[in-house]
Amino acid sequence: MRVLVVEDYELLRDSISQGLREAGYSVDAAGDGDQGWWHAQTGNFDVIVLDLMLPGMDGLTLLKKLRAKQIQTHVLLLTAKDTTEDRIKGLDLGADDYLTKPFAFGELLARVRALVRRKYGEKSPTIRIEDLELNTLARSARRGGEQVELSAKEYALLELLANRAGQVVSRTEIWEHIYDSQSDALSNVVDVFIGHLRKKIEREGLPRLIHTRRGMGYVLGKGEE
Amino acid sequence: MKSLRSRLIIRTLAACIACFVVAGIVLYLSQRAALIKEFDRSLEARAAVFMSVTEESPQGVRIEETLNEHAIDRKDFFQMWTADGRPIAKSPALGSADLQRAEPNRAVFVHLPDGARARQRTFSFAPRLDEDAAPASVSSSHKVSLTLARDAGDLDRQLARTAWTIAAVFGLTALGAIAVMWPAVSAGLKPVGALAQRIAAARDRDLSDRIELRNAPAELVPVVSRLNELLEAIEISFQREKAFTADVAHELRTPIGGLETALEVCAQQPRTQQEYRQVVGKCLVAARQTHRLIEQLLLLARAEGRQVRTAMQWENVQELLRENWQAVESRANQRKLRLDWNVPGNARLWTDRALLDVVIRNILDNAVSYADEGGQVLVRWEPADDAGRLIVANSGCTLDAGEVAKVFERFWRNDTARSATGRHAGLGLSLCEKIMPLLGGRALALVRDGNIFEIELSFRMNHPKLTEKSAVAMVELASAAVWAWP
Repeated sequence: MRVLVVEDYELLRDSISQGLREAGYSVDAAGDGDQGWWHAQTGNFDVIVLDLMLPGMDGLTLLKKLRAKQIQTHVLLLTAKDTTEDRIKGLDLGADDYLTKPFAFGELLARVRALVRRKYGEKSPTIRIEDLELNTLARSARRGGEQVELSAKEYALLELLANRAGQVVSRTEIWEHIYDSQSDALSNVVDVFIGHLRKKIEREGLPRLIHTRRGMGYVLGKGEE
Repeated sequence: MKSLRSRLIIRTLAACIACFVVAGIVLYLSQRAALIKEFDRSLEARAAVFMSVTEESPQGVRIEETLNEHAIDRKDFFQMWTADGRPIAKSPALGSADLQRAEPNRAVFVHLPDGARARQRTFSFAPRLDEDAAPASVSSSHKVSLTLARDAGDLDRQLARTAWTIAAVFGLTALGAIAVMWPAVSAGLKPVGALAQRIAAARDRDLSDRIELRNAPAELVPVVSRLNELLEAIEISFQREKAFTADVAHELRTPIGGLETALEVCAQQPRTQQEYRQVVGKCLVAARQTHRLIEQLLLLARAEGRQVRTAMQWENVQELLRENWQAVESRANQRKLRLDWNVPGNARLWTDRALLDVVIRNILDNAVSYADEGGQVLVRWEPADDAGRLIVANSGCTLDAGEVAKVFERFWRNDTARSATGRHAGLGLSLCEKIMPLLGGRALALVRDGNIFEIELSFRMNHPKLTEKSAVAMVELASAAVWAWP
């Protein structure tokens, strides 16, 4: 899952980015509104964590421009303003959630997870595809009742595929959601990770869940290649 | 607590009653005087009858017999004396008692022997001579005193009736006034009641409402107008304080949020020593920034409340500027700023060093931070009539005149960001403006030539022992020696 953090206070920006990365998200960060807009308008993010008061373009203007351009990325407003009027204004302009500084990082993570679930139409933190079960809170996976040990990137890849179960997810989409823009990962890294994932979740006697669609991408779910 | 209505009614009624009492007394006294005058006239008429029937003959003074039978009213009592005081005659009703012979022509109230109140007057006259001895028109040369007293019972009753009539009329009028005054005063005070209701309904949550009174009486128009002015001032003050509180909360929340998140993320999993050191270093910087912000806020609050004690002494301007410049010098060098320094070596100020340090540090920091990369910072001391001016200017200003007017506002910054880098919270120049009056000076901000931002600090020589002559001499001396530093 890919998150954009737009926050001008360096310590907070770096800490949020680090915390999200360690939680398995790929994170891009921007220190002002203009830079944030440059990132956000690509629409490749699952969630944008957006500070309201930014140098250059302020957060509300950025949000307005996003919605005007029909970019429906979920936005979590992050600000030190805590009046009801501020919340109403932010939510009316198209924000999906609101968090007031200072906050517990665990709460920010939970809200980001909720927004990701909302994006993929999930209500429950547990995703089930056949006998594969993903717990998005614990960031863990089980296949046929057995725990599957996954690295952060492998889990992120599996969660992306699980959120879009039954749909073809292109290599480019996978790459964009797993790596941030600063990453120097090679272009074939997606295939390598898919290979690792297959080895870990496929079991003998159980149906294959990750299917390759040649020239298109990958599909998670019961089906035939 | 008495209401305005009851106060008005009570006081108006009291005034009316006082007027009625005075008017009643005056009316009664005038009526009394008229009745007594009338009574005295009748007494005079009765005396004239006595005089006409009194005659003098060679045998002495005598009264005609007919008087006793026909002319004397039962209510009249008389007594007559010769000039030497010898009794001549008196009313048989007096018996053995006598009337008091008083001064002639002066009527007084007396008590008769039977205890009844009477009006009495003594007349002195010369009786006519006996018809047989002389013509009737000729009077005797002997004087006779006649004291005539008349029962005043009727007069007293008439006076009492008059008094009661006046009292009753005025009393009833007062009662009627109360009945009329209550609704009249209530109706008159309706606008005041409406105004009180509007004021009572005013809440600090919604100070934008103004008081409007339809058909307000002329007396209340200035009150309503002044109240609305005060409401507006309170609203502006509330908004300013609200914004200030929100700004303070915001400025503190952001670094605290940063500290909290950094420590929370760091504590989520084991780290290397270097990683811990990095986080601690970043948190320390944030903590110092927050500390500085809190110090600025406290100083600002004290300066605004004029609760800062100053310790004034002579300070060398050049040394003071040099020391403060050193704090920003490395940053100026990094930004490749060119320094134009023009400060007299002997310029001195009677000032508080600690407070002036805050001012100088802030304006130098501001100039270095907002000058364009590779631009220029100017520091100049100008002697003036009243003392001197310190000018700190920087190139690369993008502010227009409207924005320059706001630079001394608390938390104002050119961009909309609040937390920014944590370096500038928008308090520095506000502090300068508030501190300068404590040092006997003032701060001005202006833009020159379109892109030069200039802060001018004007100082007055306010040393108690410094005369105008010596101040001018000192400034001249200071301006003569320009210290070329750095």
